[in-house]
Amino acid sequence: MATTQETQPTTQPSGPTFQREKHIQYFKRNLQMLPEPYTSQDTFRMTLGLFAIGGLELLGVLEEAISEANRKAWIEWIYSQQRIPSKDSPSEDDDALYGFGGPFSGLAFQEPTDGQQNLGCECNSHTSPYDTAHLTMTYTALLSLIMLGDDLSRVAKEPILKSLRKLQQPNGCFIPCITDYEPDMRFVYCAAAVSYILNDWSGVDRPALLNFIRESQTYEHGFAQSPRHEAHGGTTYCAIASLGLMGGDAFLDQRTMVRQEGETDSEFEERRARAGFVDLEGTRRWCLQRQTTGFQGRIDKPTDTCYSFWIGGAITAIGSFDLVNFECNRGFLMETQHKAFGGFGKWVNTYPDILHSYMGIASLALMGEPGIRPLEPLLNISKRMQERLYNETVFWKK
Amino acid sequence: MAEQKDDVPFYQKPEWADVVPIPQDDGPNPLVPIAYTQEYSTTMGYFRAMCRAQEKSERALDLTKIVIELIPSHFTVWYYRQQLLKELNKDLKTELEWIEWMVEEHPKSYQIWHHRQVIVGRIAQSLFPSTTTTSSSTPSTAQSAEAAFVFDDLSESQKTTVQDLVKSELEFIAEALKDDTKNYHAWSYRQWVLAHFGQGPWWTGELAYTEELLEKDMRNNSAWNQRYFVVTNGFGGLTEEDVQREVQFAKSRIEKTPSNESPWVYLTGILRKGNHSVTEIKEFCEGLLSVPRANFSPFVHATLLDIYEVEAKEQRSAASVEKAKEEAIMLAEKVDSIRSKYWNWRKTQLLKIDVAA
Repeated sequence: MATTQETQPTTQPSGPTFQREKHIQYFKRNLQMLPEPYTSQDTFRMTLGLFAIGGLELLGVLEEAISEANRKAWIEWIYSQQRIPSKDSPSEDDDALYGFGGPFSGLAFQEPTDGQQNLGCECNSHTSPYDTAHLTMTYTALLSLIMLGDDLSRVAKEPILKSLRKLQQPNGCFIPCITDYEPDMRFVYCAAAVSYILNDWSGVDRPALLNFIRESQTYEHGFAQSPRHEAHGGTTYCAIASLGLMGGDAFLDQRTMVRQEGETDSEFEERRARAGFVDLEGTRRWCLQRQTTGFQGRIDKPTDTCYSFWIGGAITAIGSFDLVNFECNRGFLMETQHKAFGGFGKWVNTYPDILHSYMGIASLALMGEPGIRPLEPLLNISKRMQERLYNETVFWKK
Repeated sequence: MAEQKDDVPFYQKPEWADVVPIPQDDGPNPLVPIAYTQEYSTTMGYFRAMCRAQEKSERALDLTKIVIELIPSHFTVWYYRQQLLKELNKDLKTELEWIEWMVEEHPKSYQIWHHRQVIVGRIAQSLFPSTTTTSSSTPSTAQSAEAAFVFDDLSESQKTTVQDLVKSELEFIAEALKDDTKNYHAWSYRQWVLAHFGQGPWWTGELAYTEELLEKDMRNNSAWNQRYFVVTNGFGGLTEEDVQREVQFAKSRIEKTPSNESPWVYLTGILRKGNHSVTEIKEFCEGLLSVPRANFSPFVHATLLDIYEVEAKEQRSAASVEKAKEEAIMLAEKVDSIRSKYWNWRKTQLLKIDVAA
């Protein structure tokens, strides 16, 4: 492959100005209070929080924009949304689903008292199924904890892994929680990201997961939400990033693979079995074909800010981001940023929202826009925070 | 179905007087608080109380509807409603009418479409309880692409019942697709309906349906994808006859709109699936070069680049490398310059091909 991932232009791009200050103010405002229309996304508040914190991190102002007191308080808030097994009934067959959720179900806020750490809310078979954790919230809570400076030492790893096993379907796909049966690629990605952050894949049947991803690559060469559906930018990111988090073996060529040092015969054979099933040239082509100015999510759909990241992230993961037309993509994003309020809308002349604002900045990060921190595309987090995951969290640090 | 507008909020009615709402406990300094309306906060307080008590009652069922209309993406309220419908033995046809109204209001809600699937799955199961093999009533069981029945094994009257149900579902979906012909949820659900009831006669009509949609909009890629789904899944796999018919179908659409990506992707996809080489459409593509409009289609040149590249590799032909290179230059410099970096990269890849001296 002729491509490199680390291409970073050093000069200020020409053309319209990136409204960095306005975007900082936009995320700060939203972090304080999200406006009323976000009520319809109340159950996904943990994810909205990630976009606000992550936006400030990418803009390079996380620590100055969020006081230490707030960082500490929000770490407690996030842990208070963790569902953990109760001490009195640690039964093997309990039905509760562990991980992170939201305060909407009405669980009591947990405050650290008398030297007792706040570990989250105790749940078990006898508590309500409506207090459930949700796979996406678990993924986004973990990223937010890392960014706020937590070492993840209070994360209930084993219960989360146990819950992952419950959420994987016979066809390899994941559902987000027992009360919401939506088996599709989004939750495959969340399961992969959670496993990666916890540095433990024992909650996932990897061959089944790979098979699901393989089955979901369509005749168009993008990936669909599940087998036989239409190729889609968001799910192509989820599929490709999941493969990347699993080590990227799927992108390798079976014929030219070599055994790694210390790898046994059976380990090597197993790894070979995982290789080569993704039609990389097809995926590269499908992704690049989605560029109009920015990117569309499907053939002949409107160009939309978020696909500048979803598809940009997927192309980066397969090492071909330098084949993107930066000037056109940047030009589109400069049009969707809101000149007065800051933030990015879905389309030109639409009001900004926090998801599209984060995704717009994440795509600019991939292109090395000055004033934005470099992004690690597989986890969708700054490279600085990826280092923090490796060096300062309990699951990774040596 | 229009909802009855009632001036008195539910929580001021006497039948709710005994319920103590549970407020949301967000702690002293929450992350991204949302500026909830009073109506939302109050409603959710009552909803939390119902959930905590796991109350199975008419008022709880009514409340789920109110909550869903405020926040359709809520990830536990639908489950609660599904439990209630079952416990209270509610008429599922009435539920379908309400869903129809909700789909019009929130066509892109994952949860609404999935709820439809659960309810229709239950109706299917209730038709002939002894013959069904799958259950959609409990979310923890796998959603199966497998059929609920072996259609051919049903009696004539049972067949009619199933056909009526499938027909009404396909019509409902077609109605939603009129508003948004590319609604991902509608298409996903349509595939489920087609497959869930087995190999019935509805598969035959589906090919005509995609053709009808493509007549209206040849660029509707969702309809192309559905066509691929039907052709490769509907009649026991793709036959050689199917391949020939579909290749002709795609070619005829390409001739009408050569710059439309969908039929190109479909054409090469069908060829691959049918184990045919892309080189089989070489003459067709070369023929398009003399058609004024087609000459500027990036897909004509991109497909020719692929064809010549395959030829160059298979025949170790320097002439084919040259032709491929010309197509790459044409794409990078004239007809698809937004992707010039990609086409130039493809050009450099051609140099690696080992050609006969």
